[in-house]
Amino acid sequence: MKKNDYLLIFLGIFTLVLQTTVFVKYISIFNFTPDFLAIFVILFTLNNDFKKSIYFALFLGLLQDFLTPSIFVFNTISKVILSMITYSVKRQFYLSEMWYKSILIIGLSVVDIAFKTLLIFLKTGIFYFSQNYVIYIVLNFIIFYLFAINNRFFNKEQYS
Amino acid sequence: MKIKLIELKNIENENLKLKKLLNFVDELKKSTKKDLNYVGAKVIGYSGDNWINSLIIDVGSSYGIKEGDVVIADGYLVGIVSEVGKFSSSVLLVSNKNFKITCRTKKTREVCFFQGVDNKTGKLNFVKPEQDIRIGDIIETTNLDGKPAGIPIGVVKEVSYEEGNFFKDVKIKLFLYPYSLEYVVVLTDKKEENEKK
Repeated sequence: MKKNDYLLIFLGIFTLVLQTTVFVKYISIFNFTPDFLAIFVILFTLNNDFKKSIYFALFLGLLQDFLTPSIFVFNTISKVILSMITYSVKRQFYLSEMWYKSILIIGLSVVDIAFKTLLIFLKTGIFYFSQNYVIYIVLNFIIFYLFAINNRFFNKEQYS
Repeated sequence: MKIKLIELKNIENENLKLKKLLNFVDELKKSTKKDLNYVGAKVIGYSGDNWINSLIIDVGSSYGIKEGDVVIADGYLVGIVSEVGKFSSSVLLVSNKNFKITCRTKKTREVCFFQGVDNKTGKLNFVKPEQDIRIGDIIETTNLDGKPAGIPIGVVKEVSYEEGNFFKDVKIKLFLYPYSLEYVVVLTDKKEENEKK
């Protein structure tokens, strides 16, 4: 592993700690908080190869699941699916335009919601689909955009 | 000077919250017949996921906490301890869809089964049409499943029944918003602890 990889792993853990302590409490609109870890996994996949991205998604998902009771590997599967979709889309489209990326984050947030809703329905028998999920999509979109604007990862050369 | 004032205000707020918790613990001690240990705990984290509602508290097995212990705050049910570490524990909140508990109505003592739905609401399962449950009834814990009785969970918000159905649909409004909590009290059974020793 390179020095940069260790830094990213540390950043991932740091994001998880922030998400479980500060973000849930203070960056919450209508009880919804953006999933910083999902955004982190998507950004990572956009800039790295398949194997590395899957390992990273698996690692962050497992960490998140260790802090979440009741449904084990709930976040692990979700993060791996997000990473796989991002990678397959990345290979098919020229993703340097912010416009494409915006569609990608919205699409992935919808996939995330659908997968988690389905898994909870299978486990508990409650099919709960709230209109407020739109807020989750919008929050993810805003955070992704904020990261993307000032991100060195998003140089055009990488995808050309 | 200003910083000191802010610090003092924070301490005052903290004291008020702890006093409120202590008052309820005193009331519960008087009303419950069970021999319980009351362990105060600080909330140190949340699940960080919009779909699974849980808290992480700073007490674990070293304080005698066990899986299934009841957690309360401000006089209301917060959840049940679901995972225990040595120095911290995970609490499954009442608002979690996986949270299920036997409960009763305060007025009519009708026994029913509570299940969480989201941060603000829950529902009652298997409510028969002949059961007397009305809007405004307070739902509280019962000792049928070994938990301390009389801890309020929420209030009945909506009751509906369609002809031909086996059960009524009952929606519950929860008393607590979990993400505003700072301190909780864990109720552990003294008898079980003594048996272990």
